[in-house]
Amino acid sequence: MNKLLIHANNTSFTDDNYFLKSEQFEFIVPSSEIDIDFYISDELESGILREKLLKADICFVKVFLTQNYLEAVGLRIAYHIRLTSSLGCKTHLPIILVAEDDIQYLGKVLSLPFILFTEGIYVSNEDRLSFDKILSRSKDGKLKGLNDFDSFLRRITIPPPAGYQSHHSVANEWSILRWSRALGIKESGSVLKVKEKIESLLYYKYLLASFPVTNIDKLNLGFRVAEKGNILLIDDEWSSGWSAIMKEFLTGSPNLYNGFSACEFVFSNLTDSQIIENCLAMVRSANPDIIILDLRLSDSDFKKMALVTDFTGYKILKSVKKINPGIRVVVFTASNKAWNILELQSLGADGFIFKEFPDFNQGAESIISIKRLAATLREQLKYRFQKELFNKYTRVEADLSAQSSGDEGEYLNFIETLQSQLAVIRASIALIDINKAETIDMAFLSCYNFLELFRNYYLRQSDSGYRYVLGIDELRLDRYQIKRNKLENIGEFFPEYKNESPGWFHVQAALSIDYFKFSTRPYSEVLQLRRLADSRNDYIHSDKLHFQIEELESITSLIDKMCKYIRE
Amino acid sequence: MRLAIIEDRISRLENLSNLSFDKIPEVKVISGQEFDDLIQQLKGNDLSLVQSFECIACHRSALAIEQREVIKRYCKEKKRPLIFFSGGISSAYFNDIDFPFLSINSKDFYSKHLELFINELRSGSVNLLLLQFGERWRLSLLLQLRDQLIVARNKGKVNRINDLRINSLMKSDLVKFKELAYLESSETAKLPVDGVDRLLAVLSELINDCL
Repeated sequence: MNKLLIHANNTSFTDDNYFLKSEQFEFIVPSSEIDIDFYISDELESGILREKLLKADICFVKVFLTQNYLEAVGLRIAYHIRLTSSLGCKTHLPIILVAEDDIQYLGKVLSLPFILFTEGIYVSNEDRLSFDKILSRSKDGKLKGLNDFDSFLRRITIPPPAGYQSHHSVANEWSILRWSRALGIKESGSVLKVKEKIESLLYYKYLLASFPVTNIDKLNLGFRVAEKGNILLIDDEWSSGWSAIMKEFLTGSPNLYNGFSACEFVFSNLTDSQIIENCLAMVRSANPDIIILDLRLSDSDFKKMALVTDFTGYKILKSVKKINPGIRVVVFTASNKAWNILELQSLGADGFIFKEFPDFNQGAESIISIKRLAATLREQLKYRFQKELFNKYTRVEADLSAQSSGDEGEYLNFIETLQSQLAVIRASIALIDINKAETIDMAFLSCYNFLELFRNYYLRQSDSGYRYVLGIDELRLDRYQIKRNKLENIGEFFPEYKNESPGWFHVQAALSIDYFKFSTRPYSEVLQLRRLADSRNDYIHSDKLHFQIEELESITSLIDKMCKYIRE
Repeated sequence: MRLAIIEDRISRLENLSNLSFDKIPEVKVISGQEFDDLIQQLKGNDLSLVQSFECIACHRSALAIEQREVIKRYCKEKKRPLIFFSGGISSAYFNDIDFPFLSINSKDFYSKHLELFINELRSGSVNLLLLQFGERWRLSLLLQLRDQLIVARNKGKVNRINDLRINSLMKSDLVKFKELAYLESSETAKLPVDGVDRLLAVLSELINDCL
């Protein structure tokens, strides 16, 4: 029978009468700075301890291996042996804990005592009698190893390291490992760091055993999101692997930056307001269509009583929607609290993706989360037009404001009316749901009404009343029409002729060409106006069911131009 | 000043601890400009900013490896207790062979045990185990002593008082037992025949009392 003793040169069993030198492993943490879990894992994965353990049929472990007695590092090694899958059948070998007290007593005193009460764990005192008794029982086949691994897992509990801020850190690291595997991302750099950590820390070994990250087929998502839009990641854990994962996921390459950017600064060095400022500066420069936003970005977000409205991510969401309500925000969070979702939805969050946490993702594969992210981004990218529309209407707002500083009078009233209608347009655009076509209709008709205000203001009859004129300049109103896709001027409108009332199209066309003078040969804006007027007439007469996004974009471009050149 | 806490992330200190350090005269938090000054000093192997402290606690990742080494060398040379705390430490490590050294998770460091530790500091004692185990630190030392004693006895290496290697903190407690009066003899004095057994019996009693 091959036996092994793990000790710190602090047991009577180091004598040759008990164990030969070749049957011993001396536990010496090489540096006081290394985490003990890393030292144990390195030894079990590739060190001398592994070599010796693979030859052993029975393993003695001194319970106290450091001066930190209540930590009982010997028990920690026992857990590691059970949970290091690369040891194969040796994970199940009988483990004899060397201590002066019985199992019940140790169970009362030590940290993480659960393993003491599992199959295949025995205790031997530091004396000949106890030692011989153990060996004799082993020779008689009465000393059993672990048989039922599932039962072992059910009986133990390993808590996360104390500094892990609630479930947040666990969810991040856990998700990074699982997602990188699911996406077939090469484990290098930050992802490798997380992988090494997860494979070394006892807590993660326990999670990996309970919720294996195996059999994840590489996903073929069939598209690369970043080819179709700009995506910005705001996550303080970007350097832990999220940035690398998102780059690969969105662009298909760890080095291809087109379309993807991340706020890559050290969040922990900044105050809350600096985090917010830096992120918003990045939003302005990166011009994202979608922001993938983590909610808790600063230490203060982990205060016990912190509300979702206190979170730095929440404040960023609020400000982003002020910059441009059309920027889509997908919240990427380690929290699954429903109250968060309701609060954030009311503020304009457009989607939610949860980082995985083993406790609440039991059985759920990363593939589901990744597919959900892909589907969410794909859906949100359909709303890219919204951001562009809001950009244009912000410009329109500025153009109108520039006109509203003049004297009071008819023109000022007109500008104020336009401003009121602009608010209606903005509200109706914000409400667009591409799966509900009538919301697009509402937005289009708001825009159409906006342009109708131009007709109401600019179309006048001359003082003598026998002709139509435009604006304060009393410019002659020519009649434009489209024939064979070409614009024709067929002369002046005269009110006395029957059916000669200039309509929406005629006034807009004349304003564009003759009053504001932005439409010149080949008069593409006027051709655009004609199509929009026809489309609207078809809708009114029920020949058309709904407007299209392209028509909304088209009428917005015209509004943008009209307001750029607007004058009394 | 007795304790210097070198902390680059004040917000974390505020989140993890309920103590108002500016109202505790025994503690000095080195952060902001003072932290930057310290870094500059460490680059030149200069420790004048922390020399007056009896104990140094340092956020491990705030310092580069070379800077940590400067502090460690200094503490080793001066036998000054040193604590490294970090969010990335999953299992605490204590060693006082060269000098008292504790590596501990930040959350544990800033826990209510820190208050106990500061109270002890006021009475002139620096006990790093208090930080990790709080009031159970004594149990850790009792278990350690009993374990050492049994191993030494089994190896036949306990003949004189100094072979018992009793920590001074423990000794003052143990001599109160009249059956252990021999502990007050000189360090090189021979142990009574049943001296080890008597000591083990008292230790078992004290260990039981701790539960």
